[in-house]
Amino acid sequence: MKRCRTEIAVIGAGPAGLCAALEAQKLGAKVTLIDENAMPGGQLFKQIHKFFGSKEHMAGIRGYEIGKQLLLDLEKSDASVMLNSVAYGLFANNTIGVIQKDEHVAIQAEKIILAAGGKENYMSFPGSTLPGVMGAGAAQTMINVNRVLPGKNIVMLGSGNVGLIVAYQLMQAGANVKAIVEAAPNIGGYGVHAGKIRRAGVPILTAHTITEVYGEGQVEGVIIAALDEKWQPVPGSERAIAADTVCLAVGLNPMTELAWMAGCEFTFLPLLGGHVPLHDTNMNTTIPDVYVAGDITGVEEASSAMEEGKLAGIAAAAALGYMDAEEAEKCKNEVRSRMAALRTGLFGEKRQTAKTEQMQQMEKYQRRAGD
Amino acid sequence: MEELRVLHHPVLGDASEIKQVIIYFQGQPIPAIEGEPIAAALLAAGIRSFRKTVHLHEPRGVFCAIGRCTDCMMIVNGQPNVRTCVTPVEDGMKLEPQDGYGRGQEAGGEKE
Amino acid sequence: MKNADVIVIGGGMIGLSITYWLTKKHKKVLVLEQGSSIAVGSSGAGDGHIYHNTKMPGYHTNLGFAGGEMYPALFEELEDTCGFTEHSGSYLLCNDEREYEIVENATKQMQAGGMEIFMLKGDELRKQEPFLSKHIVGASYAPAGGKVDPFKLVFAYERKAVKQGANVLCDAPVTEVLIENGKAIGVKTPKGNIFADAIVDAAGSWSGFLGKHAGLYVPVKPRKGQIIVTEGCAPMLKGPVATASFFCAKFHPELMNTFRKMTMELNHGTAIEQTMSGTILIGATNEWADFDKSNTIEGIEWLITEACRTMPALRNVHFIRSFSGFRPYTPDHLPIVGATSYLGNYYLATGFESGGVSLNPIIGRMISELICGEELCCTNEPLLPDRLVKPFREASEEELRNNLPLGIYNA
Repeated sequence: MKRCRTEIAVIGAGPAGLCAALEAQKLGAKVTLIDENAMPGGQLFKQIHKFFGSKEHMAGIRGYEIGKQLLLDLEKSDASVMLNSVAYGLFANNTIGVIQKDEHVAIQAEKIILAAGGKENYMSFPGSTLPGVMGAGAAQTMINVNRVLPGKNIVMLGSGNVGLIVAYQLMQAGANVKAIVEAAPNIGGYGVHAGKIRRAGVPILTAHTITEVYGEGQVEGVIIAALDEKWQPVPGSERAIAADTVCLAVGLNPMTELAWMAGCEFTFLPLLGGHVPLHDTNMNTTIPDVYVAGDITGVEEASSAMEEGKLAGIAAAAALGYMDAEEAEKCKNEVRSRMAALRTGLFGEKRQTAKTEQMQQMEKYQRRAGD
Repeated sequence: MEELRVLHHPVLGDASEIKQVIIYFQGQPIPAIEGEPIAAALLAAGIRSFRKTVHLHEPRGVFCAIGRCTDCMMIVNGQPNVRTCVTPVEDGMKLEPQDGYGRGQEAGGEKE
Repeated sequence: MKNADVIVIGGGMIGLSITYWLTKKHKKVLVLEQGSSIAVGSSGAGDGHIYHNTKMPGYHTNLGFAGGEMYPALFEELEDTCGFTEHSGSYLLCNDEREYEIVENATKQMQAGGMEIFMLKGDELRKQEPFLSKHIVGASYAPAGGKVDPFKLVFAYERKAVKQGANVLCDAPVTEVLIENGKAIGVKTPKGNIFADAIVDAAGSWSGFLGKHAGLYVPVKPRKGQIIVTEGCAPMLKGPVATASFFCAKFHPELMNTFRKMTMELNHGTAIEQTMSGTILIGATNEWADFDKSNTIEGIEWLITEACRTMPALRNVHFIRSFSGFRPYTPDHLPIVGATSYLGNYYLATGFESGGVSLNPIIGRMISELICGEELCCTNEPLLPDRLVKPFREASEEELRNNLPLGIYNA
């Protein structure tokens, strides 16, 4: 077993982890960035659409271009990067167990930033395990990163931003999106995305559900039904749509296993995707040397992931003495105000409420612990 | 069979210079692009069923495509439980669908 | 006014076996478990091996055999096979000729004692278990060895016992044993006092604490074992195997000098089994860590290294989980089973270290016979509590320090 030491270990090299690592090493800390994939970037590289927000939030820039820039910055930096490396556990004395290819590595860090991201939810209904049923994000990876269509005739379940954006991107890649099926009476995502879809002639069937996916060994079609006000299928409303692929855009949930292992306190916030670790305004969890950033703290989007990453990176480096407290607070406040700006508007407000709840519970915990 | 590879894309542009390799699915040669995940090559070839489940022997293929769910596991060069969505192709790679945990002789690859 | 005939403290395989037997004999039994569920102590952290290859002839071994032999009939009564693999056989693996010689001698003694066990040379061994490493020169093989799923066993006992009238309360720690005129009359719990004609200590690694609550010095302390679990695999191993190094060192202590540092610090021998669901359990370390249940990176490294040495094909298998548990350890390695002269109506069935799986069927029966005043099917003379147990105030400083959990010594 190989042993090494670092000052700040960042687990996960997606937008949150990349920004955390870059901020921390900019301040002079010795940083090790660990990712299980062959390339850093997390979910950034499949995002070929232009980001929203202000200029500060890189509005108008495509996700994968932001990713490319971050990777260039990473290369120029002093951060030590471990790819194809699975951080499988957190042990006593801030030691991280890592399997890199065939080697067992014990990394001892002074501060640990968990940025493991989130994964797609699954929905269960007859036929939902047939080959051809996949997450919307999975389809997005296939078309935008690997340039392979998962199928030609797609039914999308879910009209949130992911469902709408991926449906559009599937069309850009040459697929035929037969319909978007949405259980709620209203479309879940931004009007601008929905508009693009409708103009392309794709029906968005609100108050509908998929009752069954059929096919011999793979998807051949779906049966959809209308839903009444009580969310029950209306008898007689069933009809079939021929398709070879069904994409599920039914939300994501945080991948929090390492935070559980570390002993962090959690709370359950459905709006953020489920069980999320408590953290304070420094992204510090209830375990003193452990920080979190990005979708692991609650599912939002790449922009907030990057800001949370920056915040955690600054906080961890400052805690190690790489920045004086007053100066650090000034920098952190700049990040915090950019983050607050992201959490506005119809969708952002709800996330802000959830994040406030998360941090209030952290305060409660700290008060109890202080007693 | 319709072309599933995205050769021309309004945002990503045209597919650039690629190095082609050959992988084998149940002995059948499949064209693949060096460096792409096995699952992508198989999907491009219209192959979607990668394994059968342990108890009910139901077909499974790609679900999450980021190495989290293990639905896409296959036997690769004799090694079972390989997540094909995060494993890059190599020239000459041999792929077999995995039935349950695989047959006895594939259990751990080499015995010694 | 009593609440039950018998209170059994401890919801593991010992406690539930006793409960099953007592309720069979129409006793009203209440089980008190401190954890949030039954089987969360040692019974929830073991590998379930029915393993005979290291049992030298003698009382303890015979008792273990007798217990193991009770399983087929027991599974029928419980209407559950509890993941039992009928006689998959068990192996003690010898790394070199020296170990083979020592194990062969021990095996001859076991045969003389009536056990069905014999030696296999490397080639014959690998005919039965082809995935074992070529460097293994041979092994002892006991056809009667096998494994049971400890969770299924505990839950099967509970289902049947409850049908037979038992009550099981979880989140119910005992904070005091109530005593009147030198006899135990009940227990105190956070939910109130409970009274019964007899109390049973089946608290395993926590018997030291329970003993103190009864005014007794009961020398049981936790010996930690870490285990790792692999992903599900196609069949690679039929019977549980264990390496012989430490067994051999018991007879030839000088062999300890040949062990690597990490082996010395962490272990007792690697044991590997493949469960019915295809996962492979690799265990176990032997550590003094009081009640610290965390896995260590050194423990994981050691288990993986030793396992891959024993079965090279494991190099290509992923491990997906690790956990640990505590073995209830007594100063003379023998369990504590029976009544004590220091407290009336109080029975102990604890300190089984790693022997719970083979012994629980017969211990359940023996304790029920004791409590019901019946003749014992088997003597418990070598296991009598008073060889170790005494009033708490009579225990020396050294005994408190060496033989009890830290929480008692430091209190």
